[in-house]
Parts: sequence; C-alpha cells; structure tokens
Amino acid sequence: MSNLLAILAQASGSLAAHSAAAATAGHNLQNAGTAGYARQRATLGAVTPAYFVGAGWIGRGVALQGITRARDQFVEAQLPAALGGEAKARAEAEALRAVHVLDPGLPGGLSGSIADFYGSLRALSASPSDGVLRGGAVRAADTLARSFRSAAAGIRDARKAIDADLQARLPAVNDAAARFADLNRQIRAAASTGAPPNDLLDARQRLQDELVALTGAQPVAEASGDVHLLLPGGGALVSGTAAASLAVAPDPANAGLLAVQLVPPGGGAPRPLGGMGGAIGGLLSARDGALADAGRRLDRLAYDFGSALDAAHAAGVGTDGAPGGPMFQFGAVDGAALRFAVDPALLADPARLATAAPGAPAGDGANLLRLVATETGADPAGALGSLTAAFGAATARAESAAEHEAALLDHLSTLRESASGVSVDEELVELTRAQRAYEAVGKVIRVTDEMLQSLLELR
Amino acid sequence: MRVTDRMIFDGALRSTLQARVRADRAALVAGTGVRVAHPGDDPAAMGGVVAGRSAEARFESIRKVADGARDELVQADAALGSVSTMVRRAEQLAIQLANGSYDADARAAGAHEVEALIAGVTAALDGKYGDRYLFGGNTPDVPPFAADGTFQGGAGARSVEIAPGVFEDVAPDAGRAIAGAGGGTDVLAAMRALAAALAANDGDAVQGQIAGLGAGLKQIAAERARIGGSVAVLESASAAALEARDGAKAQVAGLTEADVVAAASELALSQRALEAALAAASESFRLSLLDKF
Repeated sequence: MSNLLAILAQASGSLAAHSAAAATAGHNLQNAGTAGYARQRATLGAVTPAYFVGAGWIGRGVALQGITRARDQFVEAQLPAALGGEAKARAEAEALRAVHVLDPGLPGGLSGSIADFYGSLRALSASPSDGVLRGGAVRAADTLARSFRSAAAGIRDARKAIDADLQARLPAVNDAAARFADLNRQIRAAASTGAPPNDLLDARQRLQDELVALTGAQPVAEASGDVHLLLPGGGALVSGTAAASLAVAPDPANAGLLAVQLVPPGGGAPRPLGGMGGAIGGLLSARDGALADAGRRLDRLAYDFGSALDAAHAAGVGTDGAPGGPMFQFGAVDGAALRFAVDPALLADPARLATAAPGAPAGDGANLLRLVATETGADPAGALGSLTAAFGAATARAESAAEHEAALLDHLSTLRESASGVSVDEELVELTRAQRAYEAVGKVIRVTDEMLQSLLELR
Repeated sequence: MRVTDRMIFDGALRSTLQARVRADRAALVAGTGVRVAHPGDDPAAMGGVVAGRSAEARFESIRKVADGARDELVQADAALGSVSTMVRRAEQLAIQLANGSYDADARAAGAHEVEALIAGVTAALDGKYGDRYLFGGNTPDVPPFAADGTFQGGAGARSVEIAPGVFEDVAPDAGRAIAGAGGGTDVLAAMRALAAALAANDGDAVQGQIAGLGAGLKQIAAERARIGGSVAVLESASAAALEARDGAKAQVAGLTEADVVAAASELALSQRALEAALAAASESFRLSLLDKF
C-alpha cells in the first residue's frame, strides 16, 4: 500500500512538471509577437534516485529541472557590432540624403547663379557703358552672392538640424541606461535563487540592443551576471548597477556645434567623448564629415572666386572714372561663403562696375574682359562640380555602407530569430505534448486510485 | 534552420517594403524621366552635370552675344555701304564737274548735291544699334561725328568673347574708315572741300578732291572687308557655340535623364515584383497549425 501511495505522490509531482511545461509553452505563445523575447523551454527529467526493490530499480516519476532560454551565443556575440554599425551607417546616410542644397538642378542654386553672372558680364561686353546692362550685371552678382550665402546657410542649417536630432535622442539613451543598470541589479538579485530570470534577461537584452543602436556601446558580460556597456570613445555608459549619462555642450572649436559628453554616475564633471557609434555616431559623422567638408569647400570656392573677381575688378575703372574697389566682400576663407556679398557701394551704383581700363573712355570694356576671363581662370564651375561630386561620393559611400550593414544585420537578426524566436506550430505541439503527458499522469492517478480501492475492498 | 512566425511576418514585410520602394522609385523615374537628382544618386555624373550645365549656359551666352555683335556689324556694314554709295556719287560729281565745260550754275547745283550727300553720310554714320551709336567705338553714348564733322567716337575697340577665353573686336572703326585716323583721308572733310570748291566754281580745286575721295572709298571698302571678316568669325563662333551648347546639353541629358524604354521596363518589372511579394506574403500568413487546431 505504501508503494501505491508513493505512486500517487510521484504523480502529483509529475503533474506539476507537465503543468510547468504547458505553462512555458503557453508563455511562449503569448509572447510570440514580443520583440526581443527568447523562447523558453521547460526541461523535464526523471526523478532520481529510483527505489531499489531487490529485483530492480523503480523510477519515481518526472520533475521540472529548469526553464532555459534559447540564445545562440555565437550569433549574440556578433550582433552588437552589427547593430551599432547599421544604425551608424543608416543615420549618416539619411542625414546626408536629406541635404538638397547642393543638388545641381536646384532652382536658384549656385551652379545656375554662376552661369547667369558670367552671362550678364558677357552681355555687358557688347556695350560696357549701357546702364541697363550694368544694372543687370550687378544684380546678377548680387543673386550669385545670395546663392553662395544660401548654400552655406543650407549646409550650416543641416549641421544644426543634426544637433537638434542629437539632443532629442539623448533622453532616450539616458533613460535606457538607467533602466539597464536597474535591470543588472534585479537580475543579480533574481539569479541568487539559482535559476536564470529569463524574462528579466530578455528585457535587459532589448535595452542593450536599443543602447547599442543609439550609441554603439559594446556589452561586456561578467561572471556575476552583470553586463557593462562601454562607449566607443572610452568610458562606461553602464557599469554594473551604475549608469552614467550623456550630455551635450557647445564646442567652440567646432563652430559652437554640440559635443557629446559623458556625465559620471551620480553627477560630476562631464568629460568629452573621443567618438561615438550607433545612430548618434552616424549623425556626428555626417555633421563633422561630409557636411563639414562641403562647407569648407564652399568657403574655399567663395574665397577663390571672390579673390579672382576682386583682383580683376581692382585693375579697372568704372564709368565714373573711379578705380575699381572690391567687387565682393567675404573676409577670410573660413565662413567666406556665408559672408559673401556684393560691395554695397557697387550695389548702390552700377557705374562703379570697373569695366574699363584706366584712362580709357567709359565705353571701354578691356577690364570687363578680365572679369569674364575669370570664368576660365578661376573655374568656379569646375570647383563647384568637384564639391558636388565629393559630397555625392560621401553620400553614396554612406548609403552603400548602410546597405551592407543592413544586409549583415538582417542576416544576423534572422539567425537570432531562428534560434530564439517563437514558432507557433512548435509551441502548439509542445502544448499538446504537455497536455497528453498531463492526461497520462492523470490516468496513472486514476489507476492507482482504483488499485488502492481494490486493496481497501479486500478487508 | 528553424522558421518562426516572426521570421515569416518580418520576411513578408521586408520583401513587400523593398518591392514597394523599388516600384515607387521606378514610377518616379518613369514619370519624371530624371534618373538622378541628389548628388548621392551618381556622384561622378553629378560633377559632370554641374560642369555640363555651366558649359551649356556659357556657350548659350557666348552664342547670344556673338549673334548680337554680328547683327550690329551687319547693320554697320549696311550703313558703310550707304556711305560708300554717297561718297562714290560725290566722286562722280567731282570727276564730272571738274570738267571745264561746266559753268558756275552747274557746279553750284553740284555743290548742293554734295552738301546733301554729306548730310546723308553724317546721318548714316550717326545710326544706332539699340541705344548705342554704331560708329562710336568705345564711346558709344555720344554721336560719333560732331556737327562740324569731327570724329569724336572712341578709338578703342569693343570686344566680346567668342569662345572660352577668345575675344574678337566688334566695334567698327569709323575713325580709320571715315576720319582717316592713322594717316588716311578724312572722307567728310574731302566731301566738304569738294562742296566748297564746287560752290566757288573752282575746277582745279574740284579736280584736287577726286584723289582724296577715291582714297576714302578704299578706306571704307577696307573697313567693310574687315567687318565682313568679323561677321564671318562671329557667325562661325555662334555656330560653334550652338554646337557646343547642344553638346553640353546632350551630355547633361545623358547623365541625368532616364532611358525611356529601360524606365518603362523597370516600372513593369517592379510592379510585377510587388504583386508577387504581396501574394507570397498573404499565402505565407495563411499557413499555420493554429488554423488546424
């Protein structure tokens, strides 16, 4: 009789084990659509030791040995770099693609304004003292100057817009970092039970992915179960249960644009970061890479063009006989495009346009030909073409990198999903298997009960 | 490899999105005919587009200026043709009236005709092209000849660009052709002297003007020949600029415009691909053990 009672006791334990298996399958099914969820599996095993009854060992049923979470560590180890790389390349490509101020077909763009300016000078060469044509040439110069300023402002505004985007992303980073550190604490506490807290681990994994994509931080796991997040530019965003935060401050060495800083956990003096990855790194790369280069090239173009025109203009005299002063104002190379303007005196009085050689009559166009010749000598169209091609190449390079990184990430994400994702078909089978096993154990209980009843009826 | 439900959904989403992006892009290219717009679409082409558009505009403005200068020179040539005719008539009168058989009345009538010819020549030389005097040289704002016939136009030439970095003088040189600058004959002075000699019934003086008028005619013919040469240069420059402009335009079109047939094919293909992606996605969603339970 004692053996029959033992069977009932074992069956009770077995029911609990199969119930846990069914619950796990149900949990998986309920999270089939949850992003970052890794399927879990209840591991059942025969209870040991078995009874030795002289002729052999009688088993003691089944018990839940643990609930594991499916993660392929080989794939997981490659994902942070892929996530950060893809987010960086995509953010850079999208930021550059959004800039249209250098499109050759842009109405009122620099390319057309340069051509119109020289066209107006050429038209004036037929009759250099013609007041209407002189006014047209000076207006064309003013339009060209506006185009320079507009292009430079477009690039500057694009860089500032990136700063705004950068600032908007920081709260998400800091919030996620704080929650990540808190999850480290929760996981440390839960793991002390000896069983892995699977759902907490998944939650931390999701935050890790998010932070990696935003900052390019790389995870470093410790034997204690903590995961630290180290930023590419040095410094820990999360160290165990302590989270640092990111802040921005104007950088005087970079035209007052924002520099990203790391604020230590609990506050303290922020320190500059050497570099960033992820989406923030991509934005910074677009801002301080291709866009900054385009701005510098535009400044150089404005300076060289303005200098060539000014030199030619200074060699002549206007219809009023006055020596040609500067034609354009632009200052030093740095910021020349943004300051580019027609000399106010010339703008107010087109008679000052120095088209004649000194001492020649007003209708002389000898110096005008010098101005026209700068189109070949200074070759502003060539420099603009080179600028446009360089910016286009940087955009295309970023887009190509983004495609490559996206393909790599896509591949790894598929492998992760294949290893960790929930298959509804699979879980339905698991659920049915657990249900059948549960029913079988129920049958064991019923039969054992009947056997007990038979035994009791013998009396 | 295990295939999960999320993989099926994500894969379907990804393939339909990619197909839709491709179809949208193909529709844009087919609809606008433009293959590239942003510098990143084709960086090498974009550098060429900037240079090509600049060249297109440059050659177009060269063509316009050359055409304008040619028209001006053609008008100047026509004016010099009239002047030449009138000077030739004066020369004929001089040859005719130098003969001793003509009396004072005949020579006085000749003097009147020569005065009229002088007025005609002056009027022709004061002709304008637009707002400027044709024969003003580089002083085109004032009449080239004063009331007393003195040349007051500019001695310098006006030049226009006829090819990148190449310039051509386009102002007729009335100082040389009419006023005899550089050691030639002052045609108007010779005509005035003829009129005076006729009025004075001085046959010898009339005879003395024949050579000067002949030399003047040669000067005018030489200037017309020079103008003719410039017109030819400007015409060929205009034709060359037109060709270069069209070449630059074709180059830009080649770099930016889509091949119509290729664009239409891509549109059809991409739409087919989108239909296939949508069909595959809907089919893959339908197959699940969930429906059999």
